[in-house]
Amino acid sequence: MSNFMPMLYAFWDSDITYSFRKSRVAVISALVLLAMFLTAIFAPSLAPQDPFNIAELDLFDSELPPAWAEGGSAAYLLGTDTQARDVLSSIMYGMRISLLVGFASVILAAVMGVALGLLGGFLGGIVDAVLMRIADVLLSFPPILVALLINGILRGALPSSAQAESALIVLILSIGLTNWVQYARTVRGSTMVERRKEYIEAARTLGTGKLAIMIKHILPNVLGPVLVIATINLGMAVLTEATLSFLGVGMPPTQPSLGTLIQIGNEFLFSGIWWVVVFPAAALAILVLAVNLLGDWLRDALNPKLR
Amino acid sequence: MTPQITPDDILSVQNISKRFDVSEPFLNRLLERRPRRILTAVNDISFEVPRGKTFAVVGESGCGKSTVARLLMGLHSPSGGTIRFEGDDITHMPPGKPAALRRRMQMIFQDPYASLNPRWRVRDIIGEPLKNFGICKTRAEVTREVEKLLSQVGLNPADAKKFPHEFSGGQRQRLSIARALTTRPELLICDEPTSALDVSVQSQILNLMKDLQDEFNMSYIFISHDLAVVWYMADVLAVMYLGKIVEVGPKEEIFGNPQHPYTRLLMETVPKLTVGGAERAPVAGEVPNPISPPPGCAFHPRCPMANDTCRSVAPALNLREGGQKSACHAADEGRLKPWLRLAAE
Amino acid sequence: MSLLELDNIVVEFPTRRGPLEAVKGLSLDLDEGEILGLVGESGAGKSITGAAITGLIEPPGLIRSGEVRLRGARIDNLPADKMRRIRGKEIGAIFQDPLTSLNPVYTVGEQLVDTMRVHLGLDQKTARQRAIDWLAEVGIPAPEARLDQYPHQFSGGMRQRVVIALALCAEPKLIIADEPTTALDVSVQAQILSLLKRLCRENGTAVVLVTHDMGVIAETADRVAVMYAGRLVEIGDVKQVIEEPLHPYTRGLMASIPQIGIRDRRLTQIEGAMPGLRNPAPGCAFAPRCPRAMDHCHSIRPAPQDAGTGQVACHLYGETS
Repeated sequence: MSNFMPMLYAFWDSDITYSFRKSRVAVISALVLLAMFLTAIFAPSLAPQDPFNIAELDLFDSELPPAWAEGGSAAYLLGTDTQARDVLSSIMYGMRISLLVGFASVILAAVMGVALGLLGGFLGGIVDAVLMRIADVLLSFPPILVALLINGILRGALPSSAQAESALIVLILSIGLTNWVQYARTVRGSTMVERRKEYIEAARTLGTGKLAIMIKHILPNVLGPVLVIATINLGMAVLTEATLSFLGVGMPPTQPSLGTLIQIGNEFLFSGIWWVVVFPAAALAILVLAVNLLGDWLRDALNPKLR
Repeated sequence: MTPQITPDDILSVQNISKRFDVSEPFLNRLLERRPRRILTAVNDISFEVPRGKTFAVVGESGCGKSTVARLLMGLHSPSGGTIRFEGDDITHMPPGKPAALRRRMQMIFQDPYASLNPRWRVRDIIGEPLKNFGICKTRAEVTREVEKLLSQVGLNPADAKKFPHEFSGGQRQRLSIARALTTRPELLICDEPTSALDVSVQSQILNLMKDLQDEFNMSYIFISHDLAVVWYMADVLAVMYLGKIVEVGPKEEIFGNPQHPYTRLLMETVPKLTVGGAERAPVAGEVPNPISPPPGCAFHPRCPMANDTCRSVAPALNLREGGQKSACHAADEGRLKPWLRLAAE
Repeated sequence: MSLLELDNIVVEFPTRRGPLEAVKGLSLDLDEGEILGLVGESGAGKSITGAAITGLIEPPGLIRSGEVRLRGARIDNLPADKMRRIRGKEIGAIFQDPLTSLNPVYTVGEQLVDTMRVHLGLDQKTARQRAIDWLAEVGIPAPEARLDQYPHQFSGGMRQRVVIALALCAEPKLIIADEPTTALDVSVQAQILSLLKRLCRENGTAVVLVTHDMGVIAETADRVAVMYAGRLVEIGDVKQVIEEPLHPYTRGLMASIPQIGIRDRRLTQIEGAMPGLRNPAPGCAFAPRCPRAMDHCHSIRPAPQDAGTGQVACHLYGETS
C-alpha cells in the first residue's frame, strides 16, 4: 500500500495521462460519457419519473412540448409522448439499456475474439485455417445483416412467450457474435509476431507449457490494440442495437432502448410531436460520437509510432 | 566415419540434419504449378563438445549455426541423426523435457530486446525456471534466489522489481545469463550473445561468461560470426558453411593453419586493427541461396582452387596434420598453399 | 577552405520534460577527397551528426545552434526545397539497411536514371547508359539485364552495391555513410568497403563514415573522430588514434576489442555504461568511468585542444593538466 501514492502520481504524470489532459476533445468526450454512464446507472434515482410504471402516468399530460416551448411544463423538461411518458426519463432509462447491451456485447465479442485469435495465432495449422475462414465469411457480410440473422435464428428457437424477456440476452448475443472477428484478427496477427520472438523460445526451453505460454506470455503483449478496438466497437454496438430495435427486432417497447424510442417516436415525426423522436436520436448521436472520439484519441495515444 | 565419443564429452551430435519445407501454400503451388521447396538448413553434421570447454560454431548468415542451437535445445526436431547429452538420447525430446536432463542445458539468445518478456518483471522472468523445475517452492525462496543470481551477474539485487526496458542492452544480456543460471546448467548454449552489443559492453559480458565458466565448470557452445570473439572464447571450433561443417578442431591449429579456403576467407576478412598493411584482396561472391545449393562442394563458386572434382563431388571431413579436420578436395589433393600466419602481437 | 565544416553544432530534441541534447557543441571539418571516420557506441550521437549534415533530423529534433557549412556556405538553415537539391547533388547518403534504402516498387534502373536526370540534367538515353556503367563499376554482373530488376531480386550485398551506385551517380562531393556494412556478412563487408574506398578515391569524393566498428575505420578511413555522450573526445589521423590513442575512452575502447593472436586471459573492460542524455553531469562525461580521472575532471568540462595529429578533449593534455 505504501506503493500507492507514488504509483498514483506516476500514473497522473505518465505519458498517456498527459496526452489525455492535453487533448480537449478527449477530456470533453470522457466527461460526456461519464455523465451518460452515471445517468444510466442511477436512472431510477435521477429520473423525474419512471415512464414504465403506469401508475405514474397522467394521460392529461400527454403530448406536451418541451419546457421552453409554448404549452410546455417544467415537470416534463423535454416533453411527453402520446402516452404521457416523460421523454427525459425515457431517455435515461433507454440509455441504460443501450449502454448495457453495448458493453455486454463488446465484452462478449472481446473475450471470444481474443481467445480465438490467440488459439489460431499460436497453434497455427488447421485450427488457424478454420477460424480464419469462418472469420472471412462473417466479414463478407455487412454486420447489421449478420446481427439480424443471428437474432432471427435465436428468436426462432425461442417460444414466442419468452421472446420479450429474453430480448436483452438475444441482442447481446447477436451483436457479440457478430463483432468478435476484428478482435480475433488483430490478436492473431500480434500473436503470430510474438510467437517467433526469442522470449517465447526461452520460455519453451524452460519447460513452460503451451497454455501457460499463451496466457501468461503472449496475452499481455497482444492486448494493447484490444482496448482501442473495444472502445470504437462500443459505438458500433450501440448503433447496431439501435438499428435492430428500430427495425422492431430489438428491445420491445416495454423495455425500450434508445433505438426503440426512436422507432416509437418516428411515427409521430411529421404529425408535429417532433420532440418524441428528436431528443432520443440526439442522445444516441452524442453517445456514439463521444465514444468514437474517445476511441480515436486512445488509438493515437497508444500508437507507439506517434509518440 | 565413426565419431570418437569419449566419456569426457558432455554432448555428442551425430549426423543431424534439419530440412524445412518452405514451399508456397498448397493452392498457390497447385495453380502455378510450382515444385515443393525444401531448405536444408543443417546437412549431416557431427561433433562432440568436451566437458568444461568452449566449443564455438562460426559461420555467416544462412550457414545453419542458429538452427543447430535450436536443434540441441529441442526447439526444432531433427530430420535425421541423434543428439546425446551425457550419453542420454535427447534427439526428439520437446524443449524442457525430460526435465531432469533439460535443466542441465540452457540457452542464451542474441537479441537482448526480444529475449525477455517486456511485460514481466525481472523477478518473474528469472523466477520462471525456478518454479518450473521446482527449485524454489515459496515466493520467499524465489526472491532470495533471484537476488543471489542478480548479484552473481553483476546487477543490483534491488532491480528485481524492474521491467526489462529499464535496463540497457548489456544489462539485459546479464539478465538472460542469470535466467540461464537458475538451474545450475552444465552446458550453456550461447547464440551470438554479444553480437548486438557495443564493443565496450561486449568485453564485460565476455569476461563475465569466462568467470562464470570457471566458477561453475560449465561447458559452452558459443555461436558467433565474429572470429576475434571466437579466438578469445573458444577451445575447439567448427566452421560452418551452408549447413555443413567445413572445418573443425582445436582453436590454435585452425587459426594457425586453416585447412579450408572458406576458413581462410573468414580469417582474411576480419578487419585488422593495424593501419597501412597490404590491402586485402577480398574473395568475391556471397553465400548462395540455401534452397538451391551448388553441386559438389558448396563453396566451389567462390573458391580460387576449385577444380572439376570440387564442382561435382562433395568433400568429406578428413583429418589434417595439425589435428583438425576439414572437408576440402584441395586439402586432400595437397593443393592447399601454405598459410602465411597473420601478424599478431 | 574545407569541404565540410561543422561549427559547434548542438542538436536538440524537445520532450515534455525539457529538451534533450543529443549532440553537444561538436566541431569538425573535412577536406575534399578525405575519408573521415565518425566512431562511437550506441547513444554517442554519431548517427544524429550524420543526419545533421544531410538535413535529415526527424522533427521535432533540430539544430539548435551552430552551423553546418558546405564549401563555406551555410546549409543547415536552408529552406526545404534548396536542401533537397543539395542532397543528392552535393551530398550523397548510404544507410545501413539496404532493404529499406531502395524503393521496392521501382526498378534499380529507374531509381538510378531518375536521380541522374534530376541532378545532372541528362536525357533518358544518356542516363540509362550511365546507369549501366555504374552498375558495372560497382561490380554487378550482367548490368544491362539487372538494370530492369527490382531491389528484392538482389541479394543483400548486391543491394548495398546498388545503393553505393545510387549515392555516387549524381557525382556528389561528399558522402555520408551510416553503418554501411553493419547489416552485411563479414565476407561481404570487406568487398563493400574496398569498393567504397576505391570509388571515392577515384572520384575525389569525401566520405563521413559513421560506424561503431573500429576495424572498419582502420581499413578505410584517413582520419577518425571519436564521439562519447554527444561530444567529440578525440580526432586525429587514423594510425595515431588506433595505435596510440590519447583519450582514456579511446584507449579503453581499443583495449576491449578482442584480437586474434592475443592470449590475454581477460579482455580489458570499461566499467559502467555511457551516461544517458538526460541531466548531463558537469565536467567530463567520461570521468565516472575513467581510470585516470582527476578531481577537476568531475567539475570542469575539457574543451578540445590540439594534441597528437589532431585534438583531444581531456584534462590530461594541454594547459590544464
